[in-house]
This record gives sequence, structure tokens and C-alpha cells, in this order.
Amino acid sequence: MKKDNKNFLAVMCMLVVLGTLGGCTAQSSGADEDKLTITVTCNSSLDHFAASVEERFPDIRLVQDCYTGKYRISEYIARVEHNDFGDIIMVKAGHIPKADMSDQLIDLSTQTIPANFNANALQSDEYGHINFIPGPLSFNCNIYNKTLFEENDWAVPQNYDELLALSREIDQTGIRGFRNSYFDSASQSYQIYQYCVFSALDTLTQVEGQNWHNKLMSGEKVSLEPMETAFQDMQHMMDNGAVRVDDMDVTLNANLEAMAKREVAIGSGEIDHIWMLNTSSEDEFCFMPHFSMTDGQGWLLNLGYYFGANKELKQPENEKKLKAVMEILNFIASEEGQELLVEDELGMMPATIGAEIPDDPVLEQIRTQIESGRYIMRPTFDMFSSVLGTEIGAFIRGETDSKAILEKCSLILEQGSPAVQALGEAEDDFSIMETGCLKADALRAATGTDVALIGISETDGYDPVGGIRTKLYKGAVTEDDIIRVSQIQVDTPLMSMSTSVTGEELLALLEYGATSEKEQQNGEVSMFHPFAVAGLKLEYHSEKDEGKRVSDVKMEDGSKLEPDSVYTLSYIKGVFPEGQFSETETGISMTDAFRDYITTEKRVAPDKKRIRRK
Amino acid sequence: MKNFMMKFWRKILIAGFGVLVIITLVFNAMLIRQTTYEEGSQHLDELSGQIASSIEKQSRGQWNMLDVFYKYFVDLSNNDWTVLSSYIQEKKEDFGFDSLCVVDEDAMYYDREKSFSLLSNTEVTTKLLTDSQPIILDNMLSTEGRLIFLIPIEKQIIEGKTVCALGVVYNSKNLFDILNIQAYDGEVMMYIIHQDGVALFRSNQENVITGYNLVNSLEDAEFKRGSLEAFRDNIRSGHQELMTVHLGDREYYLNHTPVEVDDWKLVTMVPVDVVSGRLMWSSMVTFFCMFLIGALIVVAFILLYSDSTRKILRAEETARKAAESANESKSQFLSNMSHDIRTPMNAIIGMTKIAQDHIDEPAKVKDSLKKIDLSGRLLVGLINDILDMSKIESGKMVLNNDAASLVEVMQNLVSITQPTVLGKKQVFNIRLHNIRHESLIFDTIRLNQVMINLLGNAVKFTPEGGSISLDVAEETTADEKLAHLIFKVSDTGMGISKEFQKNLFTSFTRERDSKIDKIEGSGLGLAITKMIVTMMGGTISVESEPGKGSIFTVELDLPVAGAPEEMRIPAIRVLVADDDPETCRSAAVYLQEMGARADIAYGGREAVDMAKEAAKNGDEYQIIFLDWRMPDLEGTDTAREIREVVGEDVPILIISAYDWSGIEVEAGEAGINGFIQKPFFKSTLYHNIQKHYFRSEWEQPKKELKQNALVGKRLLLVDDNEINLEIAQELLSYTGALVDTAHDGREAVEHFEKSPVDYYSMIFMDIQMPVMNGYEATKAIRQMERADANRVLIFAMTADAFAEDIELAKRMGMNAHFAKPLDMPAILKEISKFVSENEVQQNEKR
Repeated sequence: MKKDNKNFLAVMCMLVVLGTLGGCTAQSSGADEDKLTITVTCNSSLDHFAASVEERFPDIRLVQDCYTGKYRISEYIARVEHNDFGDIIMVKAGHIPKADMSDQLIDLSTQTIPANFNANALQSDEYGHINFIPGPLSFNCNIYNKTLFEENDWAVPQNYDELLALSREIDQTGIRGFRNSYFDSASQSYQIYQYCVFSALDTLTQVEGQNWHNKLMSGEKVSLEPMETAFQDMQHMMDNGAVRVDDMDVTLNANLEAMAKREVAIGSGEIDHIWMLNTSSEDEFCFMPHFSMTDGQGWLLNLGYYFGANKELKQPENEKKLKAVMEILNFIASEEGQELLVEDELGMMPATIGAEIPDDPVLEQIRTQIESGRYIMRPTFDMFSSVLGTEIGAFIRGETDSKAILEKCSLILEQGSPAVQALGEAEDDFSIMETGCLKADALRAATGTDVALIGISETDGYDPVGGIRTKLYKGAVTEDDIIRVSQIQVDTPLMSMSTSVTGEELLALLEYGATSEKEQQNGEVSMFHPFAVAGLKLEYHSEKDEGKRVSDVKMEDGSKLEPDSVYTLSYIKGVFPEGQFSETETGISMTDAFRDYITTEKRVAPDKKRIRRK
Repeated sequence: MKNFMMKFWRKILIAGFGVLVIITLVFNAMLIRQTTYEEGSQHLDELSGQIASSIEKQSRGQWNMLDVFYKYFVDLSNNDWTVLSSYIQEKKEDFGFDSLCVVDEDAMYYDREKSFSLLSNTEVTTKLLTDSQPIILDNMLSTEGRLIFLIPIEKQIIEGKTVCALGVVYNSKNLFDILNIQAYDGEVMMYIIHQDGVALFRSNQENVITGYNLVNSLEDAEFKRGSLEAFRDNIRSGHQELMTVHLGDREYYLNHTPVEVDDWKLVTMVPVDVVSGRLMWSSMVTFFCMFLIGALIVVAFILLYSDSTRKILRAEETARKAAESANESKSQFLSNMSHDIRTPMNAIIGMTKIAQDHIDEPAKVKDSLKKIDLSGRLLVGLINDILDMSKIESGKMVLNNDAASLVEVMQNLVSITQPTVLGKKQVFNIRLHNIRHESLIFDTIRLNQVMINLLGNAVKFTPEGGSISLDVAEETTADEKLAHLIFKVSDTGMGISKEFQKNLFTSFTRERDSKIDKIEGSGLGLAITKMIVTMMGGTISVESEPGKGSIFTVELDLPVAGAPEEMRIPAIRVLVADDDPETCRSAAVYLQEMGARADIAYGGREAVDMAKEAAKNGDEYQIIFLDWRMPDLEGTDTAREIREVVGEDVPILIISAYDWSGIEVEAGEAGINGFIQKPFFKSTLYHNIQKHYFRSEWEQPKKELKQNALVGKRLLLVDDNEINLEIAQELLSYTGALVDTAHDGREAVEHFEKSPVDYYSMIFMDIQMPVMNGYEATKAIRQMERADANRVLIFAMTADAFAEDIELAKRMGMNAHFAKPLDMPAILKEISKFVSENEVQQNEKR
């Protein structure tokens, strides 16, 4: 029954997605309608790859069902738990252990695809079932400002000690020699993340460490003593000024910005970060390896993305789709497909056997590590997140020691993790638009305005400002749900604004629709992007021209929207281009507003009559 | 259920047979399949075993080689890697590997060209570096099918690295080339897989399974024998079992064999039709042959069954019809009998009533009594026929064969037939042909019965004025002791239809015809006749044509009774005149055989002429035989004229089949000396010539019944039925006997007991009587102690004329048995035997 419910939900979700797609592709040509639509659920856009698929497979239309943000673990888990993903799902390597998808994905070991990869890159169970094939190799490494280094004749460190020595040396110059983000939000703890990086470099680079971790992950009762090493490393870094209490206020983006501004010489990040740095700064940034305190050697953290196929495709009626999906997966497993995914910033180089390391200067310092396979997966220690989420900060602040922390972790091993607290309950599954309306309700309630507007993300990676492609699912609403629904970046809440507009102006805003940053820059929209609304009832006509897209607009109480009346309006900051009208910062984040609304309302249900679409 | 089985046993048998055939065929098919499977399994096991063994051997070679390298390395005093490397470089071609490699304590792999971290490989970290076990790595570092054989070694510091394992990189093709065999028409597919199912190597054949994991790739396949789970379990446990799996449009044998190298398994797949092709083909041919044979047997069985069923049905139908016919005949017979018996009974009762009513009119009474007598005789005849039939059918009739004269039989027939023939104005001829033996052994009564039956029928079914003849001929036989006699009774009657001829000799049948409906009879006559003839060892047949007449032929082989009498006479001249040429010829032959000179005349006039001519010539006939009835001149007239020629000395005898008593005076006047009755035998002629020519006296042996044999004798008649008693008393009294009566056995015993010795000469005892029956009374009398107790003649009188009654009567001490109603002539004849015997015995005693 449960499975049936899941299947039903999956089908419903698929219909919703397809319905949304239908709305979004209303202007597409008749040829497109004849194509077989394959949906890929991803957490970053795959434009290059998708374009190539369209070209290579004329009968296939690849639709990207992107949920914004690479680190949105909670969104990933929510979707997987509710079987709400497309024909193909792209998963970040670190997310795979978070949810067991073996019952939801096709066993790819029956295909030839896995043979394209090194056996080490494939994850299989005891029966050899393979649910994922890897995307391109992607590493998290140290990033250094090569220009700055060259200007100061700083030699690129070759081991752990040299890194710390250089860091201290650079610190003397007023530039922060080595810094990483230690910002902690409710759903993503960079403190835990950084601890896991230390653990990977110091423990998992050792044979004993690998064996220990394998046992821990298989549920064996093991000593947590190997986790001590990471604390020692962190302590060592703290002693050398490479980790500081202030770092806990630094978000990843802030750290990258600081690096771009030469405020920090060495940080860490992935290929997209380095491309962003090299794009946004005049300095040249390159990778250098992480260094293990244990062996002093340079190592890379293996990240990357994996791809799996929805098991629903095995249903007899999906025979054609299954074939198409396998063709796409085959393409992903080819060197050419992997190269395209590299272009989409999913990695640095193909993971296929025999692929050559690209001749990219940013990789120069890590070439040796790539060639010799000196890369490891970062452990996540999810089972200890309730302890590590707070205790690592305390450790950095010197308020606790590693022994006390590990004792708490041991206790969790024995007693299990504490239950997650529910803030409220969703009476039914929400669509993306309904979720947007719920957020608008929360914002309107928090700001006390007459009306609130929220932009809604669409397929193929279209995100209007403040828009998020996420849904609320039936059942308990937790803090994780609040964050994933309210925030684009897990570490950055969205702030709200308010203004006053006439009824006519409000109607014009609704007719124009939501806009992305890019559209705002261009001064025009590619197509109509309807807002989710609060305080209003209306009907959208997406296919019509501006001026005719919105009709039957009424206030919540059923009264007409008066063109000359003034109405207060709240929205996410940046939704409307700066200077369009006089606006005021409310100081209320979307996250807080949504949390308060859920906590206050307790039970929420989708309002299916508020917005009608034709 | 039992009735059902009985009713449908044939269908059940056929169905059972069919089921048995089907079961046999199915069993055969299963056996073929099983045998094929076992054969295939055995072949594949052997093949796989050999290949696995070969791979193991080669792998052991790699391990041994690594041991050699390690020893060489250990023996190096300076742990100089370059020395080992050079050594290995030299040996590379000899050993067939690609390069030497080492793994350090951090799971870092090093060979001559590259280094690579194997940290994420649990085989390396756990098995090799932690558990110090040799491992083989595949699908690593390149796509070229490299196998890395690694053995753990004591930690050695080489160029700053702590080396924990030594290995060689080996091209898997060298090891697995053996899998590319051309067995099974080159269609065998071989895979080396890991325990988790991941394919390590695939043979060059076009593989039906291309999936990365061989075992998982079978998840969608249809297992005909075995299952994927069982296959998986078998791979883990090492248990070997041949399975069959359907992939695409073909069925394959799926076999796996553990290879004692790492966790490798050798999986073999061969199309079933390739492995078992010929065997299956020949088996299928056998199967179809068996099927065909089975089908033919079934068809043959059905055909035979149908045929035999038809035959049975036909036989049943025939039997049914026969039974129906028999029943019908019996019913018809009973109906007839009912009619035939009632008719005389009615006549008797009716006439009796008439007689009573006209008791004062003697003429009327006499006429009534005459008709009552006729009806009574008819009734007795009918009952006798029935009893005869019953006797014959129950096997109780026994022939009383004794020496007897055929002449007597013929004379008897003439005397019996003559009156009715004359009455119907029919012409009756009896002719003898070459009768050589006149004295034969046979049952006179039964032969008489046969001939009387046949002649009686002839007379009965021949209309007035018709002719009837009896021809008796003797044919020579190989056995001199037998005389083969042929009796032919011919008539010019209505004849018998062809259809009825078939049932002519069957009991209770009589052709129904309007013409003969008036004819009474039991319909048993011919059946009895045939049975008697059969009992006598002869045959009877009939030739007849409706409207023209019938000929019944009886053929008998009768034993000759002693040598025939010597009949020789001097060569006297004899004239025989008869208008019947056959009679003439026969007589002439007899006469010539006796030595006489015989002449034949076919008419009276011719006879007169011949007599005259003879007299004229002085060679007179010395004896002359003339037929009585000749067309041109009657016998008496002829005799008269001849007498005038020949004088008084020449005997002239008249031959006649008729009673001549009426013409005796006229004959005497005509000068006729005597008569000869037709048919005349040789002996008849001989004895008459002797008598009339030679004047020698010859008397025919006569057993003339003394009608007065009982005169003066005292009889005791015992019967409980007053009428019977009265009739018997009356009949016996005619004999001159003195008759006393008794009404039951006890009374008879008392009468006898009280009487003086020899007072009663004989006792006629009924059997079924109240108080004391006849048997008991006889027994009591015989047991009395008086002189005449055993001497007195006791005759049984019963209505039961069966053999057992007669036998029982004799056992009880009775002398003979007479059936009711009493036939006085027969009784007197029988009694005369005992009387004469008794007299002889008494005379002897005196």
C-alpha cells in the first residue's frame, strides 16, 4: 500500500511536472510536441549537455527539472522520499549516502554502461547492483591566487607543513593566508563539512582509516577513535591561525568574494568556484591539493555527480522512454558526454577509463594527484550531525574538547539520533505554485501587506529572483522543510521588501510577471513567468500577450481590485529592479516569515482555487 | 457403477488405452528431455571443469612466478629496485607478463610507468594490505583487460616507499584465450565473473548477455529450469546445477563452475539446440515414430474393434433372430398345437356328446365313435411326435439296432401306405435298384418311422391323382461290411419353397400355406426324421420345386447282417412283363444273377407274343412274372392268353404293389399260380421260383403275434384312475384274459398277497398312485416270500414314457413298461415274449 502510495505520488508529481512543462512550453513548436520528453531532475543546469542531447537524439526532448543550489541536501532527500523525481536523477556524490534509492532506481549493472568506468568509481551492493553511474570527475581542492603568489614569490606548498608555514607567512602580510567557510545554518553546517574534510584527509587516506570507515558505514560497532585525528588537525590549524572563531561567520560565498578581493590567499572550492573566481577577478586562481596531516601528502576530495534512472521506466508502458533514457545514460557514460557535463561545470574531466586530464592551467598543481588517483570521498558523519552541528563550533571556540564530542557521538551510536521536531503539518502535497502561494501567504502575514508576490522557478533552470523550484509534501513540516522551501542558498536567507502600489500598477506587475536577474539585466523577459500570490484571486492566461494574461483579479475577500486604490505589497528583495518604485526593507526574512506562519497555522493545505490557469 | 462399467467397458478400455499411449508418449518426451538435459549437463560440466582447471593452472603459474620474484628480491642484499626491475625486464618475455608492480602501505600502486592510489578499493585495503591475502585486480587503470596479480610481502623500503605487496600486470587475454573455443559449433559463450556477477571476461562469441553484471542481466530472463535466485545462491555456495534460460528467441543451458582463483566463476552458456541438437533430433524422431506407432495401434485397434464389434453385433443379431425365430416357431408351434390338439379334442368331446344324445340310434353312435377313434388316434400321434422330439432332444432316444430284413420293411411300408394312396387315388411305386443285401443291422422301428414319415408327408402333400414313388438303391462301398442304401421318396405334390427348405428339418416349423392349412401335424415329423437319420449315421436332403413336387433322399450306411443267401437256380427261361422298365430291368438282373435266362416284356401284349414265340420255338418259358396293371393288357388277361399258349405247368405269377385279395378268384380262373408283392427283391423272385417252379416249400419266417396269448390268464390291473382302469380292463378283456382290478398299490399288494401262488400271471401297474405308488407296490410284491413273487410279470403303465421312467421301473423289478394310452397290438407283442420265456422257464423247471 505504501509503495502504491509512493507510485501514485510519483505519477501525480510527474503529471504536475509535465503539467508545468506543458505550461512552460506552450509556445514550443509542433515538432517538439512529437518528441519523447525525458525529464532529468538535477540540482544545477545541464544546458550544454541538454543541447547536445537534443542534437544527437532528435526524437528526445530533455527537460531539466532543476532545484536550485548544489548543496540542497534536504531538498534532495525530500524529493527522493516522496519519489518526486524525473526519468533521470542527478545526485551529488555526497548526497548518495543520505537516502537509499536502490528501490527507486534501475539496476544499471545489466547494461554495458558501467564498463566505461574504473571499478573504483562504481558503487555497488553485495549483489553487484549499480544504481548510479558517475558524471565527470570533480574535486574539491585548495584554491590559491596564483597571481598573488607570483607577485609575492610564494612557492606553492607541496605538503601539509609547507601549507601551514606559508599560511603563517601570508598572515604576516595582512592577507589571510588560509581560510575556509565555517558558517553554520540550520540545514547545512560548514563546520561539519570542514571537519569531514579533515577526517577524509587525515583518516581515509590511510588503509586503516578506509577499513574503519567501511565498517562504520556498514553498521558495525567500531571505536570512534579515528575521528580524533580530524580534531587534532583542526586544532593544529587553529594553532596556526588557519582556523579561527571568526571563520564561523564566513559563508562560502563570502570567502570566495574575499579571495577575489585578495583578502584571502588560499581557500577551498570546486571547479565552478575557480571559474567564478577567474571570471570575477583579474587575478588568476589555480587549484592546489589538500594536504593530509597524517602523511603530509597532497590529496583531492572526490565529489562529482552521479546519474540514475527511475525504476518506473521498467513499467511496460514506458518501454520507449526506457530505451531513450538508456541512450542518454550511455551518452553520459561516454567521454564526449562527460566532456559536455564538464562544460556544465559538473566536473573537471571525464571519469571514463582512459580519459586524459585536460590541459588546463588551473589543474597544474593537482595533475599528479589526479593521475595517481589520490582522491578520496569525504565522509559525512550524518549520524552524528546532531552533535557535530553544535559541538564543532564549540570546539573552535575552545568550549569543549574532542573527547567530550566523541563521547556524545558514541552515545548516538548506542542510542540513535534524536527525533526530528515537526513545526506543522501539510494536509496534502503542494504543487510548486501552491507552495509559492503558501510562501506568499507567510510573507503577507509577516509583513501585514495587502498582497504578497513570490516568483516561481520553472524547468530548464529558469529561476526568477527569489524563486525556488521546490514543494511542500504532505506530512510533517520540519525545519529542514522551512529552509529548503524558503532559501535558495542554504546559508543565505532571502529578505523581504514592501511597497505600495495602485490597483492598476499591481495588475501591471502581475501581467509582466516574475523576472530573473538576467532578464532584469536584459530589460526583457523570455516568456511570461506568473507570480504566486497572496491576498488575491485571479486567472492566468499564459499563452496570451501582455495585458491579457491576467483576468478576474479579486481581492481575498472577493472584492474587485480597484485600479485607483492603493494596496500594500510585499515580495522578496530583488524581485523588481531597483528603482522601479519606492520600496522598504521589512527586515523580515522569507525563512522567518515561513517558519512563523507554519508554526502559527500548524496545519496548512494547498489553495487550489486561488490561481486558475487557462 | 458396475453396470456402467459393464455397459461401457469397451469404450473405457479404448479410452484407457489411449490414455496409456499418451502417458507413455509424454513420459518418453520427458525422458528424452531429461536425458538430453543430463547429457548436456555432463558435457558442459566436463568442458567447464577442464577450462576452469586450465585457468587455475595458469593462475598458479602467476602466483609461483611472483614467489620467485619475491625470493629473488629478498635475496638482494641492497634491496635495489633497479636490479629487480632489470631482472624482471629480462624475464618478462619468458613469463609472459607485462610489468612488475608494487603496492605500498598507503595502497599506492606503482609500476614502471605510473602510480595510482587504490585506497578506495576494498580488495586492496582489506584483503591485501590488512588480511595479507593475494588478490587479483581487474578492470582497473585501463580498458585493455589487464589483470594485476598481487601478493603481500614483508614490508620493504624501496625508494622511500614502504612496499607491502608485489605483483605482476598480466594481459587477461593470455589467461582467458582458452575460453575462445570452437566447441558446440563455436556457439558456446563463456564468461569469467566475480561472485557478485560482474563479468571479468567474455569469450569472443557473439554474446547474448552484454550487461556489465552477468547475473543481474539475467533478471529479466525466463528461467525454464532453475531460477535466478538459485543461480545466485549456487554461485555463492559453489553448488553446480545446469539451468535453462530463455533469452531472445532461444533457449540456453546455463552452467557455472567455480574457478579456484580469487572469487572467479566460469559461466557457460550454450544454446540448448546446439548441445542437444542431434540427440534431441534423433530422440524426437524416435518420439514421433513411437507416436506414429501408437497412433497406428490405436487406429488398428479401433478398426479391429469396430470390425469385431460388427461381427459380434451381426452374430448377436443372427442369434437374436434365430432366438426370435425359435421363439416364434415355438410360439407358432404352441399355437398350432393348441389348435391341432383342440381340434381332435373338440371332435372327441363333440362326438361324445352327439353319441350320448343319440344313444338309441346305433348308426349315429357308430359314426360318432368312429370319428372319436380317428380324433383320438390323431391326438395320440401328435403327442407321440412331441414325446419323440423330447426324447431325441434330451438324448434319451437309443437305437435298437438288430439284424432285420429290408424286405420286411418294404412290405410293411407298402401295407401301411397302400390304403391312403388308394384312398387319394394316387399312383404309388416302389422300386429297388441293385439291392445286394437284404438282411442288415438296423433299428426296424426307427427306419420304418423315417420312411413312413417321408411317405406320409408325400401322400399328405400330394393332391389326388398325383404320384408318389419310393426308390431304394444300394451302392457299392469300400467296406464290404456296410451297405450304402439310398432311399428316395418322390412326389408330384405342391413342393417346398426354397426359403422354407432351409428350416425344413427344424423343430416346430411347418410352412403355412392356404393349401395345407387343413393339414394337421405337429411340424415335428421331418425334424424327428432328420434326427433319427443323423442318429443312424446317415444324411437326409431335399430337392423341391414349388408346384412340381419334392424328392427326399436318405442315405444310410447299414452294417450287413451275415453273408447273403446263396441263390442259384438252373438256367430256366423266365419272362418278366411290366410296363415299368426299371422293374423289368431289375428283375432281369436278379434272374440272370441267379442263373436263369430272363426275357423282358414291357406290356401284356408283348408278353403274350413272346410266350407264343417261345412256344413256337420249342423253348418255352418255364416261369412267367406278369405285372397286374399294364396299360395295354391287364395282368390277368395276359395270363389268360399266355396260359393258353404255355399250358398248365408253367407257373404264372402276378406282380403287384396292390392288395390282390380282391382278384384272387379272378386270378385263379385266369390260370395265375400266385402273387409277388412289389417291390420284389432278389430273394422274393428266388423263393417264388423255388416254390412255384421247383415245388420246394419255403416258408417265410413268421413271428405272428398270437392275439390270444392272454387267453385264460388272470391279470391284476392297478390304476387309481377309474376311466383308465375301465379302458384298460376292457381292452385286456378282449384278449380273453381274466382281469381283476385294484385302485392303488397297497390294494394291489393285498390282492396279490391274498391270492394263491400263480393265481395272477401278470400285473399291470400304474405308477403314480395315492397310498402306495407302483414302484413301492412292485417292490413289496417282489419282496414277498412266496414262489411267484418274482415270477409274476409286472408291467408298468405310465403316461411318462421317458427312459428314466422305464429304467426306474426295471430297477424296481418290473418286467416292462407300456406307455399310455395303451397300444394293445404292441402290448400283446411285448407280452408274448415274456409269456413264451416264462413258459420255457417253467417247462425247464418241470
